Amino acid sequence: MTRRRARLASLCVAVLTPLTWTHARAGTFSYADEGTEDRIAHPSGYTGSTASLTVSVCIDPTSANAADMAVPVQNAIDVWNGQAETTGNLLAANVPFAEYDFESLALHEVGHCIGLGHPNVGSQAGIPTSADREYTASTDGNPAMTGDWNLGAGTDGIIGTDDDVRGDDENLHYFRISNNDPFTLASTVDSTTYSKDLTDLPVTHLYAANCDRDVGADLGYANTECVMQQGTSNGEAQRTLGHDDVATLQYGMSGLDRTVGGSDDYTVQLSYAGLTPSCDIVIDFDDAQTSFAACSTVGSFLDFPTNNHIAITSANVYVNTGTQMGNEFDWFFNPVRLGTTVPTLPHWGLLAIALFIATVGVRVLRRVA
Amino acid sequence: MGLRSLRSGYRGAVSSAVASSAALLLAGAPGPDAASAQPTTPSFTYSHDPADLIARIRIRAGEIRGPQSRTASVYGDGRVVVEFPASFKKPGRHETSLDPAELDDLVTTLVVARLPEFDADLVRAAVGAEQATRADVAHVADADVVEIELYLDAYQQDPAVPSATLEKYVTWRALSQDTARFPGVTALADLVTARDALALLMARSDLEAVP
Repeated sequence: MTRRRARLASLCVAVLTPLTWTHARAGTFSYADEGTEDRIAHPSGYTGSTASLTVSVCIDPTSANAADMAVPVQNAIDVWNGQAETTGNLLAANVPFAEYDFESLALHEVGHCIGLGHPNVGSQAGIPTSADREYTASTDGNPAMTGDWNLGAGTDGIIGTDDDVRGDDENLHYFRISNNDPFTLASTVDSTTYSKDLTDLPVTHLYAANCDRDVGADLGYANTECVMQQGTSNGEAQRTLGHDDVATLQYGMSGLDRTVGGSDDYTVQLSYAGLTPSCDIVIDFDDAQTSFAACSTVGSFLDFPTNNHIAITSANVYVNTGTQMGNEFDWFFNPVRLGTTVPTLPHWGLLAIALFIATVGVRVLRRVA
Repeated sequence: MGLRSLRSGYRGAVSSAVASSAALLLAGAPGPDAASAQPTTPSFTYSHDPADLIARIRIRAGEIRGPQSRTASVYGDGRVVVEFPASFKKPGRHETSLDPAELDDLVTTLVVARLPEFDADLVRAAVGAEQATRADVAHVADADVVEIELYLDAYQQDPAVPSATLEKYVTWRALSQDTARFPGVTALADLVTARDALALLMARSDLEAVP
């Protein structure tokens, strides 16, 4: 046994190459890969000049859990449409410890389906440990994609921070040029403020920092992680966006020239199409497609022959039911629609003022009477 | 007895019916291996030592955080060890046993599915060639990653070539989606066959939790 394990370890190094080139590496944008590092994926409907996009999201009516998905999916749509950056977005909320929050999952997968990738390297071949998945998204720097990553956490020992030592691993993550802090957001997001070229980093920084929770904690943002960071935990809700999620979406919205203000800029809004089998992003529980969850997209090039921009033409979110023997786990479907929670203080204040005016008014009327 | 030596255990000569199936699979194989493929009868032996790993499958769901892969390992005496992530309904280690016929059927299935012949570089080239004929491109985020290991004491595909020990490791990402997108690359369908045969071990009703 021991000998076999030892042999396999060496074997893995030698043959760990068979990722399909069409989707071998997830980057900050989907479709960015070894040799296509500059590639940006845009939401369905973008043609290179469209000013305003509406992307429909629906639930396959024949899907398991179709009715239970309605509220979480609508919440996820609202959150993406709000494009509001938040901190402290890692919560237990109302998610039982042993269950996975479908709303958080939907938020993540819909992000993929509108073109966003992972800020971290994630579950790619050759990444040795689960902790190593939190290194910033990159290629392995080898055209043959042999999985020979350079993974050094630097002097702080924290994976994903600005002092990581990554050798020839080519960065795919768009960082904020002024501070390389993924927990902040520039007022204008385009190639003048964000870059993936490491020569644009602040002077003392070695690599692009990502928005992993441990990086956030190190920078003073407790319980914060961007939604697109790969990795969902049971018993945890992550239902609002991080700064980096918003930045990446807005970077794409700067269009083909990657500069805000051109005729190729666009805005994007998601719309809920209900329970129907046909729309831009179809959500479906399908155990044949995934053992947990995935976003599967097809796209076409917008800038042939450069091929640095892709418009998604179809997208499916597939989720596993977790009910098959050998792959059994539980989903939690948040039943609380956004906007229907207990009013926050400002609303109560308005209500109190209204009650006060009504009370005074009644007294005045009585005196007059 | 050395790991690589031929043991006196079961000699798994594949039956003629199975060989015919293999020939059909080979006939549809992609790329250079398809051109050279001949309808031969693969033969193999494997260890019956309880300590020797014969086959293993590991399935990693990309979007699950942490060390969350599902694993099934089969040993020479037919013992099956399955491990589920801590967040699953049946977490931890479970075991069962295959009888000799079941074990042999499993290994035969893997051989007939041409797992020993799977050449990731060739398959990727075939995928690339098929992709080149299409105007669209595809991407799967958070796709499953499957890893399969197979260890045979002796394996012989071509009678003209001496048998040799086999230590095979194959990993593929988004296998289900690639198989559907590139139906001409039959090696992917074969890999699905191998994956499904091993994944069934995780779904056996006779698995018992091991403290």
